[in-house]
Amino acid sequence: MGYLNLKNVKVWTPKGFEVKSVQISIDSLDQDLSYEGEHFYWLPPLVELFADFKEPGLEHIYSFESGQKAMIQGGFGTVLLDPNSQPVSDQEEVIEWILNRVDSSPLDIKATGAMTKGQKGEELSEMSSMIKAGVTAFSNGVRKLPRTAILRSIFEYSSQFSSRLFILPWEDELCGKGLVNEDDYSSILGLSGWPMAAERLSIIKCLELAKLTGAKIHLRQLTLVDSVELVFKYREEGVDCTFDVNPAHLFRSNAEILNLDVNDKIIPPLRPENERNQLNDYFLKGLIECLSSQHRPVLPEFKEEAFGDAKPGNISLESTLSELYVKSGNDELFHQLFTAHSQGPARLLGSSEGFMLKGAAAGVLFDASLSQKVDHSFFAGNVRNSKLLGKSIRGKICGFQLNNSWISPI
Amino acid sequence: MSLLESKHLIGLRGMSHADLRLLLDTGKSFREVLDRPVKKVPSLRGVTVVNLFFENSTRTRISFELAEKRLSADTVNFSTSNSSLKKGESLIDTVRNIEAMKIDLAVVRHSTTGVPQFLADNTNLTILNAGDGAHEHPTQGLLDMLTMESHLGDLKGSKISIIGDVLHSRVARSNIWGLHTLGAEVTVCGPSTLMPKDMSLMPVKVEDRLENAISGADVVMCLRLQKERQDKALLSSEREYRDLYGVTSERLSKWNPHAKIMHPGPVNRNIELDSTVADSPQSLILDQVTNGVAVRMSALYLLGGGE
Repeated sequence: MGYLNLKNVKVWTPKGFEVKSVQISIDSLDQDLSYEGEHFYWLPPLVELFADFKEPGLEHIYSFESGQKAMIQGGFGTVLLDPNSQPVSDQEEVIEWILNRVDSSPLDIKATGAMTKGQKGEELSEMSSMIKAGVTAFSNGVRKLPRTAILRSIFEYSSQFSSRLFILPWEDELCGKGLVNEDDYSSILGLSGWPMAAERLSIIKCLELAKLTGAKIHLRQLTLVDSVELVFKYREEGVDCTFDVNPAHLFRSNAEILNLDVNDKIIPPLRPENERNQLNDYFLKGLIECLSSQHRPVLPEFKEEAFGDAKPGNISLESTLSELYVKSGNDELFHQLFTAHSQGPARLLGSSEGFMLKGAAAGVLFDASLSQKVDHSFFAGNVRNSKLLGKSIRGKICGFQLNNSWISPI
Repeated sequence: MSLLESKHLIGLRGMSHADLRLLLDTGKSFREVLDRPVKKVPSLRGVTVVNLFFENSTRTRISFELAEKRLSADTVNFSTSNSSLKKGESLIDTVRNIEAMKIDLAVVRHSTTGVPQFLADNTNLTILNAGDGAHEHPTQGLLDMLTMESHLGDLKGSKISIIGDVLHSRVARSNIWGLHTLGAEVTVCGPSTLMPKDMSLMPVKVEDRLENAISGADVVMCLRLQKERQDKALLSSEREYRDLYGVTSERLSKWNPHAKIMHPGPVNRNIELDSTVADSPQSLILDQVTNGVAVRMSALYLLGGGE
């Protein structure tokens, strides 16, 4: 056993960072480790509400092993997985298989079940048996919403089990093939646009159905303050609705798509600068409590395409903490961003909060003074679909305390 | 290798006035070559050009092939119907294989926005965009401007109206950017379902009424109406389109009898344009076709660093 000696480092507390010294005994250490200075941050593990590890079925792209490496590299303790596996996570056997695969991990890997069989949007999935198997929630992954009548049935059935539905609110009726915001930039590029009205319409539909059925819902990746306002309005009417925002929509606007970088192609699309600014205002006011960066591995051959044909999505687990640090610019905002990516989603999932994970002590040591080159080896698995590839990023995780072990990322 | 500021010709948005001028002036010189008994020059001897037409095309492909042959380049053709793309090979692998055969310059046409830019970013080939999605079709824009200049002279201050399906038109976009750089004023007009939702960052005036778009214009350019737009509820009928946006003899003689008429072809006669107008002396449509070869020779010559 050895000690982790942290001297005059910034330690996360619910109210802010406090500079103090901490000594933690860790079984796996055969000698003491010491770190000193205010460029070190001692943080609870991050939480990601929207991740895809591709297993079972697509292990040649990504796997639980890749996902856990990425979590360690990025300081994530908990992830909520999509049902996008092959076979789709739509029955108890698949959920049991997934949870058995990750049962021995010190990391907290949770599964969502598909809302409909095969994620086809046609028949209800066996929610009751999946709950017995340990599923955390149900979701549509990144699939479009089912038809309204089917959606109503999903809401009604899930309300019977008080299980929360994690919904990405989009339908292709108005979006077509357009994976860019509909405005001047889509006009210039000749790309079919995804209007902001499509998000508002989907959200109103979900909120009305939640009101009608009593279903508990979580709306994912909201990009507009109008959407946030709608959630607040329906909450006042008794609807149990939570939501998250992707930091990409706080940090980047759709003017970037003029460069036709396929890593700017995400679902939902980047929005105009004025919308981004308004969303940031809401965040600064503390009205947005959950952030989710969406970790979506895509094989290089599906990204080595022109913008219009490339698959959407980015990987984010490895780089999120550095991005939050760099974009914040000051400790107050960094704390707020970090808390919304850790405590906020942990509460939503009913997970351990603070320096705990699966009932054991956990913490992440982040050195803000270091820089890392983002090359192929930076990412786990066979993917590298990140806008940061080829660049340098500020900040590096020195170590991850997990269940009496000290793990240093590669 | 390129005599232009850029190694590639992807679009007219952002192109400098100097490059645009060089392309057009060189095009004028090659236009004269096309009137000679021997229409061939040795400018690109030893340069190998591949025509990568991922999207079907007849007239643009022929125009490029002719331009390449007139410049004495070695040319090879590629089309998706008989390619390894059909066997599941990715776009980038296909193009890298072609590049490995020591090709110098690729003329690329694709139905997806961004393919030429993507190939420019990911290969060492010099890329000439022959049309990508609804994004840009720079040589069509150039041939249109060359045609306008040959009839109107300096385009600064001239008024050009583009009528029709602007939403899906790469021709309209390239013309808008190029004409703006030359100082022309561009107006667009068409059904609301076939106009981009926002055009405030584009240097155009949007006109709702056809009469206002036609009257006072030096050039009226009609765009081809794709019949499949009707299937997607973007168009009620060809009859109603003609009623609202057709450039008819009657309308032209009433609102602007001296306007020059252009069309990128092929024309849907008596829908977007009356036959009598298309075949009238004020129509520049066949000039456009001839100038197409000249301007493509210019682009190939300048990108290929010809002598």
